[in-house]
Amino acid sequence: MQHAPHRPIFAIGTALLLSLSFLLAACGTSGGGSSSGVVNLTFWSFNQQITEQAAAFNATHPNIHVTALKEPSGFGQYYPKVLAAIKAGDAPDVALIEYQYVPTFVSRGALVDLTPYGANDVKSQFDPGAWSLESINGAFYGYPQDTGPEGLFYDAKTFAKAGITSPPATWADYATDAAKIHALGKNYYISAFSATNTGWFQALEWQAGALWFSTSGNSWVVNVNSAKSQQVAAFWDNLINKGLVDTTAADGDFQPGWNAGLDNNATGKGTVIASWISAVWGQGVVKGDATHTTGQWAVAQEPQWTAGNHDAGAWGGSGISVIAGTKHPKEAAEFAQWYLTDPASLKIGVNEIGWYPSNLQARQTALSTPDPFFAGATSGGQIVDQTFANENLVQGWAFPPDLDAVTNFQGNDFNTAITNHLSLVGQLPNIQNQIISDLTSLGITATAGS
Amino acid sequence: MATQTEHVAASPVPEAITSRAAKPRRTLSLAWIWPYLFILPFLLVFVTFFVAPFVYDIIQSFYAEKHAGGLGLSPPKVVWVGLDNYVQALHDPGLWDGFWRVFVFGIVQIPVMMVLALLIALLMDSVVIRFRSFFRLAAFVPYAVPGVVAAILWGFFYTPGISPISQAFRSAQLTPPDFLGPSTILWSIANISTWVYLGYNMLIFFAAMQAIPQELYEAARIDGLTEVGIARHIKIPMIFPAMRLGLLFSIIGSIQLFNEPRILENISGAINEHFTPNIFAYNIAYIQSNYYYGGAIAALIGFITFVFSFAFMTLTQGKKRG
Repeated sequence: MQHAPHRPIFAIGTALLLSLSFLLAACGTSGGGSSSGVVNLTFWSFNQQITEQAAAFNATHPNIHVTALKEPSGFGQYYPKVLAAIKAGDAPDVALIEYQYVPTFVSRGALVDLTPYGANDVKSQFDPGAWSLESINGAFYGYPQDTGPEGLFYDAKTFAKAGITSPPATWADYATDAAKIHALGKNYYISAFSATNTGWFQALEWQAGALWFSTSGNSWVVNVNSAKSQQVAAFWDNLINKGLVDTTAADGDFQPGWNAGLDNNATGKGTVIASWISAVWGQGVVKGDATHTTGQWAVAQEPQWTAGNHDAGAWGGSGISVIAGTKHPKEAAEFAQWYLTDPASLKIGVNEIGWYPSNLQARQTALSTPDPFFAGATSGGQIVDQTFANENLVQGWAFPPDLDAVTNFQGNDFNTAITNHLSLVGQLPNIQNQIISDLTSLGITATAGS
Repeated sequence: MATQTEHVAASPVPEAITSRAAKPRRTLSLAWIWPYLFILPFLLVFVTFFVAPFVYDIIQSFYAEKHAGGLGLSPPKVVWVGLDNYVQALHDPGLWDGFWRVFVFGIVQIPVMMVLALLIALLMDSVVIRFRSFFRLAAFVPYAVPGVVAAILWGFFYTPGISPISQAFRSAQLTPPDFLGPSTILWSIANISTWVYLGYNMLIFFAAMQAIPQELYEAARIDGLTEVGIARHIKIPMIFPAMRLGLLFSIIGSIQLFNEPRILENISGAINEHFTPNIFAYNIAYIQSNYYYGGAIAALIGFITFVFSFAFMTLTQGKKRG
């Protein structure tokens, strides 16, 4: 201090420089700055191979450059991130959005209506059912990529070891088989039951015709606690109480213990997960995790509540949407349409990502190739997609405009039930009440269905 | 200030004196600016990254997204709701459940950690220990491990299938403990916190002991005090300000417990959406994407943390004077 007056200019300069450098560091640099009229777009998805598709697009579209980013897909990761990015004004121009989240995004004004950008010109190329999932109030919010009807993936070798000769046709058979598989050893389970895997459970309710959400005029009808809904929950309560399904959180779907559990069908050591009720896209997951079990797995239709039916609920399935706030909606819409109509892009999607495509042309190629990985019941392998194509998606299920909150309520209450040895059935009324009060607090009209 | 100036004036630095004498006017005219210039970098960062976000959070907490009835399938409006978010938070049992849990956590974990840290610091400071610098480093190393990494690391010890602890139990024909169950998870987390912060607190205490003048020890020994007596009557009272600081940090840390439960929730069903106040705020803001309500909860947590810290400072200050 006492020496400072010697060189006041120097000291002031230093202080100012220091402050400035902090300011500059705080501001940072934003944006790469587009050059020579090329429009830069960002595309988010949780599939790895999207970079190949983006490269194919960029090669044929010199005026648009798409940067594809693979985002984490875990519970509570992808959608919160997209929504937060929209709020922050830093959202991707194009993003993969699963059908169940479309109403939630629309309810936040987060998606661009693609009708003015020529969506209807290609409507005939797509599965009408999938197209309708993207259509709300006359607007169209995303090109349907793939659909998610559920079936049963099972390790035929483990099933045979347990004395099961054919996959369970009904849910009663499934419960019987669950006991047979657990009889192979304490470490053997027919399935994991993950409390936080909310979409999976909703698909089971969907198949049973327990329509949790529907609309009546200008109001939502929330029917989580219906008799049919209770029937599904009670079915799983029974398996959980008998210890026939693995409820360990670390063994839940997509967790490390579960990934290993699928592969453990090869050795019988450690926790063995012998089957998985999953959507058609699950084939890629099974192949990726159970690498030592090639040829052991098979796929069957979802077990039925009424013998002889072919009913299925859907888990996931996605579309490609243009995110509100994009500076280039025209180019973004062009990329979204290209992504699901261009043969080169569809080929990567079907062959490498493992889509069961909603594009009807591409679906034909998907339905013609047997997969030797799934040779557990048919020598040479099954045409996996064919099993799902033979099912009927139960009609009438709608997704609510606050799925993020529903996911949180359901996951938390089921978690409480599993942890404290309470019944799932007992949680349904509370889940229903929370959903209705959340919708009401958002200014949305909702009533209880039961 | 007066004594400082006298001291400088008396110091043998003739240039300083002559220059001061030569241009007194110019020095005085600019003198007021120096302190502000030197704290400017801090002030800028403080305002940009602390004050501004805090004010922004509080402003946001008075708003909410609302639909005007119907199915809600059109963009909502952001409307002023006054204190509604705060009223909702205060009536939310989840928030209080979280606060109660971190309170129980703090009441048990902080004393255990503080006593252990004090004991180790006293051992380090005593003459009997050899390889002192090695032990000091060893105790401090966990603090150098980022909290998230520590939680992942301990997560492996807690996961039944891969834990060597569980394996040891099984090979001894014993049932391995469930580290992740509803009655144990809080203490499994307390164990991680203690592991991480023990060395940190120990080092603060140890450094404070190093600052105690050696003459006091000599006098005490002449008066016949044992090593234990010196610890009790000299060291512990002398490092009281350091302990107070350590306690304050620990109280704030307990209320803001987040990293460990956030990591362990992937492998433990016992960690729910409102396990701690911060977990609750995070889930509302980033799982339910309700930024406005989440902002109100965050502001409440900040306020309650401030009240606790202030109460602690006031209470311990009174004790010190008395």
